[in-house]
This record gives sequence, structure tokens and C-alpha cells, in this order.
Amino acid sequence: METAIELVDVSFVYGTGTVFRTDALSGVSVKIAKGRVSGIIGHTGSGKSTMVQMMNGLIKPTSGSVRLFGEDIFADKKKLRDIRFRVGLVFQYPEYQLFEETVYKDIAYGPTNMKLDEKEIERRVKKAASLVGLDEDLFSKSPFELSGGQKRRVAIAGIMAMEPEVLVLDEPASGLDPVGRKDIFKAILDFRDATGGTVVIVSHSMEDMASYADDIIVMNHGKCFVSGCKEEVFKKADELCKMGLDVPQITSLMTRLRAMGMEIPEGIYTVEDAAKALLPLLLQKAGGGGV
Amino acid sequence: MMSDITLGQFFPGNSPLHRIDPRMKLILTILYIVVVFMADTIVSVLAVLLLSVLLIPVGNIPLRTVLKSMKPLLFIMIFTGLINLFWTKDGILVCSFWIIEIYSAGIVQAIFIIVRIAALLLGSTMLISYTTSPIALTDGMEQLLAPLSRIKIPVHDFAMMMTIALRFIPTLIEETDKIMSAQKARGADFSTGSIIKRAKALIPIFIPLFLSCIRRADELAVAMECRCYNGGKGKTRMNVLHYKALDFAALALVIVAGVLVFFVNKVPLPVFLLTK
Repeated sequence: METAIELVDVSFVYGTGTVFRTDALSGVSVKIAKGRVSGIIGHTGSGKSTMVQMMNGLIKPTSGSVRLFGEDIFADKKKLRDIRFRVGLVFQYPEYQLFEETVYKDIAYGPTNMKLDEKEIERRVKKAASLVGLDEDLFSKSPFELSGGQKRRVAIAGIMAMEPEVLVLDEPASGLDPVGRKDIFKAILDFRDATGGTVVIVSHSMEDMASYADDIIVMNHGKCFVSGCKEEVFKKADELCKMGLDVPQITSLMTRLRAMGMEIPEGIYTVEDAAKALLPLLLQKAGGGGV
Repeated sequence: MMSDITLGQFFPGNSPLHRIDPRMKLILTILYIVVVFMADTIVSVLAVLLLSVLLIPVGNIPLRTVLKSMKPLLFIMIFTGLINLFWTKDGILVCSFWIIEIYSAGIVQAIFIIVRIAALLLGSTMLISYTTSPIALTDGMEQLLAPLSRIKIPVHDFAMMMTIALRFIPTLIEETDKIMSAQKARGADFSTGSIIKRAKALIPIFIPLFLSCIRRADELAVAMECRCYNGGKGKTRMNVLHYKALDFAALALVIVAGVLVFFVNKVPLPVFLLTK
């Protein structure tokens, strides 16, 4: 599998030489596979946000290197801006960065900075808006008139319109209601399917990771605790629980049922899968009961 | 980047200097400045400097930090020193070349003035900047100035405004940093192009920042209202300030220093150490 982004032995230290010195990251090496959705999970202060800001060159690691398709992104300072167009980063609460008069102009800000021509900008804005499910009627409105969920979608569309090869999102669904969360994740998956790009999502929620991510990277105290495809990561449920990170509720329920002697396969992370596994068992039981 | 900016120079700690009541610290600082200006011979002013140097280990502040923060004022000290060196024409002529004549009194006067500035800065920063948190300082100021509210000066309101402003400086720095990063991620470019282009590049930062300031102010006002804030009237405090033995000991120490300076001033000095 091709690697899109690779962090090689990356460390980052804040406030060197003062009393406030802290190690945000120490010796982290991870690989983000191309074309897959990778989830980064961990507690507040585990270094997740620092890590994603390194991926597009906003933060330079104290030591170690960051590679985008094999090349060191910090090798040439002049190319950093291009790197930022290739790795689109959506910050947490991105709706607070909206500033233009109209929704259209705000989504077009990134592509305009890329010095694309009018036509191409228009094509990209329309495509990004349709991916996140924004109506074109909203284009002429002020972004400040929209609802919270709509603002969030405008902000995400602003990054998608740059058509990055890798889309990185820091807590894209935080503070939204369940329907809003679903919409945002659907938009992200649609983007991946439409462009064949790579997606990195930072999240607190194991439930969301279980439903939407292919690979998971677990961060703990500035170190990469475990990384791999989600099936492997969730096998370490005990250790994750010790860290205070829960496996999805449905998975721990299945683990308990298995412990009680029910024949349930491992690797169930979503309610839908659980239903699929449980239904035949229940039918069998009902049938076996000799109705 | 912007997170490197520290607010004031407060250095958290628990030394005797940190524990002195902020009101007393303000009084002590004023007294200390009086003592510095009382010292008018080179020996007494050196004694005062020595005293303030002793405050560094007492306050447990790293020497490097202190020296680093004195650096920007080095220019003023040297400049004043040089003026005194060249313009004092008294005592023994030490050397002369071209139009410059240096007298012994000039040298002494230059050292005297540099030592005085150093003592002034060091003592007051040790008492106030390094060892008093900005919040404690506004608190102390409010209570010291409380009598002024009788002549209708809104002391409490000013103190509250200062406290809120201080409280939000780090928050706004962090916010600016975040917005700048976010716009950079969208390809914003702040460092190239003409002045007009650069000024325009700041719009994507200022608009979200203003919005967030107004939002925060609104939220804070509501939160204060919810806790029934209605100005300083009848307000009690969580941490009531009490003068302790330590405060009076510090006061006594400064007064003793003043008396000592008074006597040291009278000590006869050899001619070459006189300023005029």
C-alpha cells in the first residue's frame, strides 16, 4: 500500500529553556496510507493537534521529518505553500475562520490563493458545495447568516475546493447534533470517493472512528500508542480502556456477550454489524425452542 | 511564534517576595524609590544596588532571566552614563583629547548614575514584575485606591476592566495564532507583496478576530450577569488580603535601609570619589 504521509521519528518541544517546557510529541513514527480514512484518537493534550499541523507544514518538528509521498516537506521553504494546497487542513471549529461577504467568496478563498482562473474556481466551488450538501441558493448569502451546521459545511467546503490530495480534519463533527455529525462524515467520505484522496480525521469519539475510519492511530502522552487497521487496534480493547479511551459501546457489549458464552464473531464495531450477527442467533434460539 | 510572547515578566513561585501582600508591595516600591533617590554618594548608591541584587536569590528568580530583561534598558543606562561622563567638569582632569575632557568627577558621576538606574530598575522589578501576578497587582491597586471612590472615581470599574483585559490577552493571542494558521492552511500569504497587498491579507485575520472578541465579550457579560454582578458595591472577596508579620518585616527592612542610606551618605569620602 502506498504511503501518503509519513512522520519519521518526529518530536516537538514547546517553550524550550523556560519553566513551561513541554514535550508535545516525542519520537512519533506513523504512516498514513493513500486512499484510506485514517483516524487519530487520543486525549486532550496527547499531541493530536500538533501532529496534524505538522502534516501541512504549519508546525516544524523540533526533530524528525515529515514526508508527503516520500519527499520531505520542510526541505524547501518556498514549497511550503504548495504543500498546504496539497494537504488541506480543516481546523477545529472552522466556522470561526469565515470572513468573506458571501458564502461563494469564502469557499473560493483557497482556490483564489492558488491563482486558478475564474472558470476553474467556479467549478471547484460548485463541486465542493455539492459534496458537503450546500444549496447553490446560499452562495450569495453572508456566511454569518447561516446556522452553525451550515457554517461548518461552508468552512469544510473551503478546504475541499482546493482539491487537496490529503484532507486532514481536526474534530470535524465536534459540537454538532447527531444529524449534523452524520452529514459531515458523509461529506468527507463522498470527498474521498469523488477524488480518490486520502483522509485523516482527528476525533475523541471511538464510535465515529469505528463507523468511518479504516485505520486508527492511538496517541497517548505525545507518543503513538498503537496504529494499524481498526480491527487490530480494537483487539487491544483492554489496554485502550486502561488509557481511559473506550472501545465503541457496541463492541464492549459484544465482548461481554461472548464472555457469557454466546457465539459472536470478533470485530463488531457498529450497531448494524451487531444486528447482523445477533439476528441469526436469536432466530436460531427461537427456532430451537421448538415453537 | 506568537506563543513566545509572555505577559509581563511574572515568574510564579512561593518565595517570601511572592508572599508579600500586593498592597504592601506597592507601598514598598514607592518607599524603595525614595530610598534610591536619597542615596546621593557613590558608596550609598552601591549599597542600595547590593541590597536589590540580594533580592534576586530571595525571590528565587533565575539570574539569566533578570539580566535578559535588563538588556533593552542597557542603551538608556549607557547613554545617560556617557552624557554625565563628558559634561561633568569638576575634580581632577584625567585625560583630554580633541574637544573631549574627562574629569574624575565625571567618571564617578557616570558610574553613580548607571548604578542608580540599575538599582531603581532591579529593585522595583523584583518587587513588582517578577513576583506579583498581574491579577494580584490590580487587586492591590484597587484596594489601595479605594478611598478615591469617595470622590466619585470609579476605582472598582477600572480595576475590573484591567483584570478582564489582562485575563484575555493570552486568550486573544492564542486565538490570533489559530486564525492565522487556519488562513495559512488556505494559502493566505502575509509576508510577500506590496504594502497594500499585505494589509489586505490581514482582513481574513481581523474579521474573525473581531467577531470572536465581540462574541467573547457578550458571553462574558451574560456569565457575569448570571452571577449577579452589579459593580463593586457590597462585593466581598474570595481571597481577603490581610497584612501579615512578613509584610511588616519587609516594611521595617526598607525603612532600616533608608536610615542606613542616610548615615552612609554622611561618611566622608576621599576627594576622587566625590561627584561635585
